[in-house]
Amino acid sequence: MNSLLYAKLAKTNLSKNRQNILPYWLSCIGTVIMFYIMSTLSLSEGLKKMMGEATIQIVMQFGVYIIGLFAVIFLIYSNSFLAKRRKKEFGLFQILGMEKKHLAKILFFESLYLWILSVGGGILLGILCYKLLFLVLLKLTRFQGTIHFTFHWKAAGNTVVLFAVIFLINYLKSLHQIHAAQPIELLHGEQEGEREPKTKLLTAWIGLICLGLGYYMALTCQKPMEALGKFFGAVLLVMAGTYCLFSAGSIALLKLLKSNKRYYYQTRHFTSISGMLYRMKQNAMGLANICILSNGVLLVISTTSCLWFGMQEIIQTRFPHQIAVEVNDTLMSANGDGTALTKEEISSVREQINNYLEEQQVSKRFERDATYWLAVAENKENWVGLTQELKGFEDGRSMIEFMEASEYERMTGKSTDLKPGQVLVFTRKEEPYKYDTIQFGDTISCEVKHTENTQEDMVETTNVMYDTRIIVFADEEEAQAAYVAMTGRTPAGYSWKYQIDLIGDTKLETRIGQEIEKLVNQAQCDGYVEVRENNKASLYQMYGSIMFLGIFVGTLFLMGAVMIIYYKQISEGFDDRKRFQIMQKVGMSRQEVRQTIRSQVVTVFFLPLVVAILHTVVAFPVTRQLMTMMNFPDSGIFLVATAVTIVAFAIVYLIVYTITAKAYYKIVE
Amino acid sequence: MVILEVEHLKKTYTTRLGSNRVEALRDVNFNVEQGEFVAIMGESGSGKTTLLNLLATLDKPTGGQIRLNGKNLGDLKEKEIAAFRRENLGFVFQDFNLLDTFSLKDNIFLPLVLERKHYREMKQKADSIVKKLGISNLLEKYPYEVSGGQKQRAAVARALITDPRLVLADEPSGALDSHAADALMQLFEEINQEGQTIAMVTHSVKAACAAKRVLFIKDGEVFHQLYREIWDGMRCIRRSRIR
Repeated sequence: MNSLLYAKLAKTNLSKNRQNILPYWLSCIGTVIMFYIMSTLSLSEGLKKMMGEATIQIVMQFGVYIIGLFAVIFLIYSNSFLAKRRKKEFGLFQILGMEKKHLAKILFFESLYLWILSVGGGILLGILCYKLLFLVLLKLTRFQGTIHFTFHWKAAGNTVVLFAVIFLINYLKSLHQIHAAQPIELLHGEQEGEREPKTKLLTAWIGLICLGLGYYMALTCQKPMEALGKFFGAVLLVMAGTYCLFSAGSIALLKLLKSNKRYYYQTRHFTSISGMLYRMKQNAMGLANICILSNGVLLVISTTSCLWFGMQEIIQTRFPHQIAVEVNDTLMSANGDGTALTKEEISSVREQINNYLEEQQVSKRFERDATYWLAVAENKENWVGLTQELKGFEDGRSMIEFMEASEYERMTGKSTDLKPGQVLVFTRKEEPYKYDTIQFGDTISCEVKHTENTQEDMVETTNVMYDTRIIVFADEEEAQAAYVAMTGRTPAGYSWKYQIDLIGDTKLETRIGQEIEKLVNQAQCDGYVEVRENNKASLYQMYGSIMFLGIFVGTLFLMGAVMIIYYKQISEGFDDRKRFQIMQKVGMSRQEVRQTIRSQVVTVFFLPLVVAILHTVVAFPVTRQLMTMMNFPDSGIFLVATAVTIVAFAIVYLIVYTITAKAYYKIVE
Repeated sequence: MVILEVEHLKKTYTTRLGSNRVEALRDVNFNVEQGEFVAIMGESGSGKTTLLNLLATLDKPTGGQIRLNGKNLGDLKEKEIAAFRRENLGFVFQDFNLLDTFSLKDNIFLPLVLERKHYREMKQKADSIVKKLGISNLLEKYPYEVSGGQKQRAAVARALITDPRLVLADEPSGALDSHAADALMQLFEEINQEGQTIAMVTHSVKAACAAKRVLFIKDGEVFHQLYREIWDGMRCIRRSRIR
């Protein structure tokens, strides 16, 4: 026989076996589509431009890995169904005189065809789906300037390679099956039941430990910077834990239920427990996959929608006032270059701005400014100082603003009554300063005078990621002495924060903002001017795009979950049909059959949903910290967004359940 | 006492489009006495499986009546059928129809679980039956782990555990080797001697030998019947011929 014949035989095999092959092929295509779209997104230029940051790239790359992992597990899982159903066919071939090596060749061509059809069809459909989904979402959300589609050879290449590997694994598994078995075993392979699975205690424990660690990491996370590092570790641990627990834990649980005779031998539990236990080995992977994907949907949608709906909040936090000037002179000139600003220079800029506003006959609704020395320092309890060279912000570092009492009084109109050696310390509202003294470096210690006021009553800090402290001293000498004690050098120059709100429309705001920027630059101040109105548009676009991306990725994950659910129901429906026919013959009424099916399907269906929701709830602290990094400090809105997402997802899940359960009933009855 | 009465039973199958009508049963009449062991014989296509399905309430007749213990099966409502089947009938099938998901023990328990009996009661009932059938040491095994004969014994145990008025057997020895088939028929005879009424469909002469009476079906009608005494005589004649 020449290889052309094998190729032909493989082709006829595939088309004769349509009923079994088609669902498998469709799930291959679905997975290819998902993987291809995800890797295209991760390479998207628009995304890079939009975010400009490494964070989103990391997140997207992570998404690609998750979908890749999912593809491997899911396709191996669905191939095992197919292989079992085709055992008889292979047995028959062997009995008719075909050798195992001939079968191997036919199988090879079959895999090759399926691979080409899946990858080719998947990528083509992927491009179409991407565009379609893109258009639909664009229409629905009216977001402008979102990511446009471009074809990436790299994405296509990755897809081709990944699926080649998956098909190879499946091919080798089938070969093993044929080689290991006698023809007669293959012939009866279909009827042969899956052996009752063994309880794998080790796996169950590993799963429990992974899940516990992941949960612990998520629950104990308290700082935004910490969250970014921990998040991925926690996600991986929880994923591993979920897979292990679903495969080993579920079997252990069912066996436990079965060993309780009074519970097990009840009409309702009897058939469903044994039925679930019977195929838990295959079931577990599918359920874990559904759970992980559902979790992905929940996380992605809740965070991104929260960002979008909390936009006003974000803008208020990031830009509390219409126009803000910030000149951080000390920081910039830490190495000696850059100009050191004096108080006089600062007040001259302020005067120029005021003159200009008067000239334009623009009146202010709000005005506040502060002049201070700025330094970065470590703080430990009541100690602030430096133990090592500064390398950006890390945990336990704060921005410290040194302010004079006169400046504070000018700014707030309140008197301080500070005696020499006394200071006021302002921290953020959430974490008030608890100590009675404050120690600067090794030499200077001051008594802290407590007030009712907080930082928020002064010049608002717009940066929520870093801890900021304002310390008010009785006079300039004391402030300077403390500064020197803390940093080991004299302050180079003053920093200045200036915030105003105008009476007038947004056009005025933009125009005045531009002019102020000019004035600040002319004065050769090393700082920046932020106009809320200008930033609003770009923020809207940015968060709009993120939301868009979130819906996109969420839909992708949802597609995956629905696909598995459907595949599971259909393939199991065929297996269960005979069982329920027998039960009816033995005296089970249709109604009882229905009840049994329902209780079984409900358990299998809602277990992943419940676990996914649990994961999401536990992940809440970590994700909240991540949200803080995106200028989103309000956890109230995030809580609501998460709750709404969970409810909405549960409804969608319920609909999918109803539809697939119907398909299942149809097959079984 | 007559336990089963079949009068003018008729069953016509129509193909889905209604163009082809096949008369599976034309006019079947017979009675089964309490404690009898009746074999129904016929060639394939003679209508014996149709007859059994009707007796089993798995299908509804086109005409005529079946009365079990005086109760007309046609009067049963859809909802009552399952319970009726469970309480009055026991089934033994050619392909065993054991559930792969259950151990033999659970397979045997199935009808009682459906009746919501207590575990202790189930166990008590099963113990004596299982001992009689010689499968006590196989109870924890799964159907795919035991031989065909053993599977069929488990199926018989499942049929008997509800103390049915009538055991219906559909080619019970059809999938067994001759040794296992002989053993099974002997078992049926023993059960029958203890008072269990059995109706069995078969086309195996050897299997029918075990019955007290044999009905022959042809073209949808009972055309002949033989009693054990006569039958035994024939068997003797045949044996002597073979010798």
